[in-house]
Amino acid sequence: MTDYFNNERLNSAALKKLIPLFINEVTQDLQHFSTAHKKGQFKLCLEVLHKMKGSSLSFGISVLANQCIKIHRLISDENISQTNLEVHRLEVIVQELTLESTKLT
Amino acid sequence: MSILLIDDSEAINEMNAYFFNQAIADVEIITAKNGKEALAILENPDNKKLPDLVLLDLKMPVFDGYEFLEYLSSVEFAYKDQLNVILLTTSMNPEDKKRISKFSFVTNYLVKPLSMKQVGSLVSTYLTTVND
Repeated sequence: MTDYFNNERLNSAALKKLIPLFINEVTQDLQHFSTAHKKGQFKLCLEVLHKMKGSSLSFGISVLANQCIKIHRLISDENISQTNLEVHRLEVIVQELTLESTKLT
Repeated sequence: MSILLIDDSEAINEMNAYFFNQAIADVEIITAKNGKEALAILENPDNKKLPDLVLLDLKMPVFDGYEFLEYLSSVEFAYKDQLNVILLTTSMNPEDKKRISKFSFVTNYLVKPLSMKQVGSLVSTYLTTVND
């Protein structure tokens, strides 16, 4: 498992305070995204992905940011059929992050 | 001294608040999750002064960064000429940069994530007392 939260900009106390906030937010964003994706609301999907990309970049979690960028590009290019697998990967990444975050507390 | 952080991500606002608190003592951090909330703060008649620095995201629901800037341009309020707005966005689109260039109170354009070096630079440029 990659050490997702090895962020040199944050000390350990800050990590323990901020990472749960980030995980909670990204989990809600993912639910929001998944609902929009199932309903074919792709404009909303792009907005949520943009937010997830920004927060994951800010927390130095490039694997999540890159996956958001990948799906954003697929949807923008209207390659909708290819998004399902990538959305599944996105869900797996968020699950891994959530699991990893429990080790911080 | 005070800083207004405007981003639809509470996690980003909190992280940036942490950086500024690390860089400078006795700073008041105010957060807003969209332009509408931010305007309510800026236009509050009880305000004796504006925040010394405003960090603004561009893409937000409800009232985005552009709408916020357009609105600020169109209204008059106390201390407006002292306003310093820094764009903090994931967009590296030159069109975005061009679009915001007409707003005189936008003094910088930064791409996320905000680094400690950038925070230090913002503090020394816009806020007076820096922790050693």
